[in-house]
Amino acid sequence: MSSSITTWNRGLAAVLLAAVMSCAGGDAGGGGPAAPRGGGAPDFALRDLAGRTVRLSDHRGKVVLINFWATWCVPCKVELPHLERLYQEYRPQGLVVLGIAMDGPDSSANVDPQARQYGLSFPVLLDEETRVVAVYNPKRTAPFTVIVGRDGAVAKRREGYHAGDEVEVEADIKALLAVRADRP
Amino acid sequence: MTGGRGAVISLLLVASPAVLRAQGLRDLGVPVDVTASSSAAWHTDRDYGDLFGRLNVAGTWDAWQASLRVDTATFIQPPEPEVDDRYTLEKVAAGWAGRSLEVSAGDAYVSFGRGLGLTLRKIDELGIDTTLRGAKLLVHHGDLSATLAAGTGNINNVDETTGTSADDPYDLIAGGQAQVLLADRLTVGGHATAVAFRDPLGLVPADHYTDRSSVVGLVIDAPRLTERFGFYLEGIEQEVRTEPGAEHPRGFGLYGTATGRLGPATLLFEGKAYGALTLLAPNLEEPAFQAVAYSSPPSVERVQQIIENPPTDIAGGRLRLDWAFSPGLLVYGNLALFRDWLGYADPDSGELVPGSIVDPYAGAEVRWDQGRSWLIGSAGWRAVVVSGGTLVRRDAHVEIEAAQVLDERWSATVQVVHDERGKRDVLLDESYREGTVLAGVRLQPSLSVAAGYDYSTEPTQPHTHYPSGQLGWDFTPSSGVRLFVGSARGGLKCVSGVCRQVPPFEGVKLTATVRF
Repeated sequence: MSSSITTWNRGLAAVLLAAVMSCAGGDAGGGGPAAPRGGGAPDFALRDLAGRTVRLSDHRGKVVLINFWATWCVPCKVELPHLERLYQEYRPQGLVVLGIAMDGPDSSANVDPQARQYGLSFPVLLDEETRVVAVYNPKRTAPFTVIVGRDGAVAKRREGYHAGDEVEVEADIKALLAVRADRP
Repeated sequence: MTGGRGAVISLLLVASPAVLRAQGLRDLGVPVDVTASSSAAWHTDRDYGDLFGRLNVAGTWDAWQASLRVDTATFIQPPEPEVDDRYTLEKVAAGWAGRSLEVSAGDAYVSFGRGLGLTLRKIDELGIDTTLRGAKLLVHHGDLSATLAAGTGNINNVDETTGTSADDPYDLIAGGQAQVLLADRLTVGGHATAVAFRDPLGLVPADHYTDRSSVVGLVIDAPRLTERFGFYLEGIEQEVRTEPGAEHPRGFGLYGTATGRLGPATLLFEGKAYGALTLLAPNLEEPAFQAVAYSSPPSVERVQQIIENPPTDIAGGRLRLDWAFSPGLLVYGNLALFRDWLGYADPDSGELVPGSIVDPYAGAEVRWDQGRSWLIGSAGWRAVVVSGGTLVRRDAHVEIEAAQVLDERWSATVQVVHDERGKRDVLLDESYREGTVLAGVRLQPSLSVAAGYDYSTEPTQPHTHYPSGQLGWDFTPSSGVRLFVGSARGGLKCVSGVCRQVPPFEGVKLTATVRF
């Protein structure tokens, strides 16, 4: 049990250190990404199905719906066509949808065929490392949706998909699209 | 630490998100995202209780990011000496992310190629969450990208399904990957990884860090080479040094995919050829941690498929055709063929002989009520045959999930999984069936009620019938509680080619997730 106590004390010290670190960051300078000062949705860069790099910060000023899904997840398969419809309907008003596939090396070959079968026109990104998943969706829930407002901050999170959730997601999107980017 | 004191600490950690939220930290300018999950269970079959907590806190300030995760495991009347209280700072990381450069220190996930050389990632469904504790550098410059990482392996120290725990292996891991995108269509790259294992991999005693492995690989990736065709190709060579003076075995791995698209049809071929490949894994004695690995070559099989042999000496592939008849009707068929030289025991001679695997399966997705009601199902039959045509393994499987919207707020769901398995060996010729039936209703936006029934005639299972009831309440779209009462079958659970044995459960379990 002494090792547990040692581990705990060591852990507590590191918790405090990390807490200080999380609050102590300065100005990143011109090369930094677009997270709003004072905290916002953490920026990330992932490759899409064509091999191109897509960044969250490239969509600053827009409402960004980030959907974590996987080819082995049945509720994800049901939700994706609804997200495609929302993307088509609200894209002209500033909605961006980023589908992040959580498939690992064993099933990532299925991502492209499945995205094509569902007619997904929004960018589908591969997070084989679970790097972005660990930040936004540490429980690795599938599906899991994060909506980032025009101010760059996370506005909504939603776990899972049930019939009718798309109505609530649409209401969230409409409300966030109505907010001006410069409004505090 | 006494159990009572541990329980208090666990409860504080579980309750901490609510405390943080109550203090309105965001309003005070402290940017944190919190995901906390906890579970409290009483195991009626073994008469003990457990309380697990997992607190994730992440903060962002301009380009700076920091995160940590604290895990707690507290037991009441624990079945000594199998389990022990444990409180761990499981993950901690801080970093800076610019457009061309990302630097992080602490825990990081790393995966090169398709996992043949190195893959440290989350597979939470199996309780696996392995990171590299050290430093990681990512460079993006135009069409060039590169990753460098070095550190020690950091595993999930507590296995929540069994309650057992293990210390970090402290294996030294270093690797790098570089890629260049050519003509906006073709990515060419390479990766290299070296691992020095603290504890020897084999049974022969050796000093720390004398057993080592190295992997080099090449990748060519053209997912959209043309509008209708794309491919991926990866090859690796692996060397593993386990005993001084002994011959160092060299393994190889080839993996590739080709995708063709024409109108409503998509054709996927996925193939592999692995020879003398060693699955790189830390030397962890606890059985619950045997699925932890540093490399994970694609199995090219169904994600849920129970795979008996590790994919080390096997070749073959699968062909899958998807056809979208309409947005409301998708069908697919899949045929996989493999030759496994690792072998199976011949029922007649007892000798280990190569096996041939045949695995056809097909499925369909049907949607109606504007996509709000649906049925997704699949079925197949996997067989392993040894020389002479003797059937040594068989696995017939059916999976169905469906939902029907009843009105604006109510919907009904049903899930059925059934497997008929058979195994023939020198000493046994057994067949068994197992499955799950789950039926429930959902009242939008927050309530779910379900009744479940697991069954298994597998000889090592304690019961045949496992009834259960579940109640869920989502008090926000991303936070909620679940109550499980009853029993659930155990068995081998597989996700993405990684399999582990999960024990059966009997009792009451309350889980909660809070996010903000």
